[in-house]
Amino acid sequence: MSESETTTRAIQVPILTRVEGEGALHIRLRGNEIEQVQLKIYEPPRFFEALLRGKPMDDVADITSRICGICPIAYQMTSVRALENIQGIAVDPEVALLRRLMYCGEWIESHVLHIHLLHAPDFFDCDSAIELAKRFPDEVKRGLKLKQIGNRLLEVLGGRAIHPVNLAIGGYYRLPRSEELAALIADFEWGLQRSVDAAKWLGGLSFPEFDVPYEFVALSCPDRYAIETGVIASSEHTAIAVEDYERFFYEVHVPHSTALQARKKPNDSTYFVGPLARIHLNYHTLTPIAKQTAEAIGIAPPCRNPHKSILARAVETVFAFEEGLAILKSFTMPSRSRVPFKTRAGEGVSATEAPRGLIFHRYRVDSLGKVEFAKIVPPTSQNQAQIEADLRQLLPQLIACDDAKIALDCERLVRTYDPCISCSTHFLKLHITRT
Amino acid sequence: MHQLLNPFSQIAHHANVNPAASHPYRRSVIGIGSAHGQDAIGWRIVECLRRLGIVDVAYTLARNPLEIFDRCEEVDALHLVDACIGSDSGRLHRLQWPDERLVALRWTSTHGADIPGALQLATELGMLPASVTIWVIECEGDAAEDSWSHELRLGIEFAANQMGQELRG
Repeated sequence: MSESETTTRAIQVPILTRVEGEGALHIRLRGNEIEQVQLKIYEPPRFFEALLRGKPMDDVADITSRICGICPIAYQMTSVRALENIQGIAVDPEVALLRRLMYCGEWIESHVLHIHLLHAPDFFDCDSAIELAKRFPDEVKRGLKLKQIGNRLLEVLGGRAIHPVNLAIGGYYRLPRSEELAALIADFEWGLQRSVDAAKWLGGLSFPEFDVPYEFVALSCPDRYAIETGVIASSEHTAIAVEDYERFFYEVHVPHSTALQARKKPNDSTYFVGPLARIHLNYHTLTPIAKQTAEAIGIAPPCRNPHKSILARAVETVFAFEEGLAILKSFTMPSRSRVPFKTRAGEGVSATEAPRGLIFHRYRVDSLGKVEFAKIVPPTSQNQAQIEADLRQLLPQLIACDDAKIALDCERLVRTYDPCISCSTHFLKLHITRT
Repeated sequence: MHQLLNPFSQIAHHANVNPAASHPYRRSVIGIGSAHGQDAIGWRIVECLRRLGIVDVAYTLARNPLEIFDRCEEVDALHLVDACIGSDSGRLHRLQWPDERLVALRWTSTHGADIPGALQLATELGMLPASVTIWVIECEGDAAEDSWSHELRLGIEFAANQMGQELRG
């Protein structure tokens, strides 16, 4: 065996940049063999599921929204829907539309942030959004204005853009005023046109060749692009009800990460959630301009290149503006902000589509409405194992390269997932043995 | 009982993307942080300022520096308030952008954006008003608000008074 075949190389990216939260990459190569690939999440666990125990269920939305400052609606919406399922209530149809609108706002601000400030720099060999802004000031400025519109929508419906406070079990604490919603129409019309322009700008990018036979998983509805409700669809298997999520998906601890990783039964396989999965599974329900845009920029299914996730986010931004505009123009104010209910004990689940992918919650409450049990599975947890699998697939192409190149390309691959590391460290099981 | 009796108390007026709309305030004060621990310092200062009733100022409680971009256009002056880690608890720094000393301060950040990074990006895009002032209070570490030192509380009060004097002009 030659020396090069036995030489061990350790490639480390100690701090992943332009991702939310704190994580690292550790790769060990022996010759041409990949010995170890670890996405190391070292951000401290945050114990939200334990924190929720004993809390009144009215507080759950406020608490879970603090898991993430970029996707608080995903946590709030999923939690209130699970609690509504326990209480046996359904919000009024107009309130359901307001919630769908609210989620559009979150998709806009999250996708646009990731596209322009975190991911697009990679395609222009820029180290930061500041460098990108030097070369493309109009495009970055456009992106920030698009994000601003998303934030404003969340302020109108949620009380504030970060950790909104208005979502309640049964509806909202306060309905928006008609004039507040009407004032958003002009912004959404502008945003729809500009988001199409942004997508076309991104459609001119060059993408590394990298095709992975993912199992895509996402919520799906027959008649509209699934965000806040649906069944759990898969590119490999028949769709399942949300109630059956835990029969097919589970989380495991791995020694190198404070965040859990998800697997799929029965083969402990990895799977992919997020915009690329949604586009693949729900392309037929995209709104008309979003679908035209997808075709124009080359993201129509099948697409299994994670680097093209930036195009999927761009199309979903168009969708969010188009869908949001349609809701704003046709909206009728509901007669009440909340459905009343009598508190009862029970257990219930919910799943929605966070900007980064499928998110699942389970709660159990007692007869006084206090939380006895909480389980939260964010999208980044579900994608972690797939990220490591992708890296193992990528590395053979890079083995002959120097360590800096390997580290750079691996980090760029991680960024395609828009990982939210703070979200994924929400939980750690604690076992105490006393002797 | 829901934690917040008035869920909309923190909405601030700000510029509208629609160019036909006009901005009602010429100065913007943004406190960066959250409601908890040392993160609350910036917010507490802004809340003190708001009570002073100084006219023609928009107040915002922002969660992260990226919110600067939502609040900085069509104003003549921007004031940012935040905390940083330091050994001299309660000490107030008043810095005028651009100032290299900002980079040396120990910030927390999200999505890779701290105050200097957000301001650099805003500068690159020509989005900042002519006057950008950053008010920073040193604190020694993360502590719940009821554990804040006397020096830190005095520093917060001092900062609000200093900012108030400057805003009154």
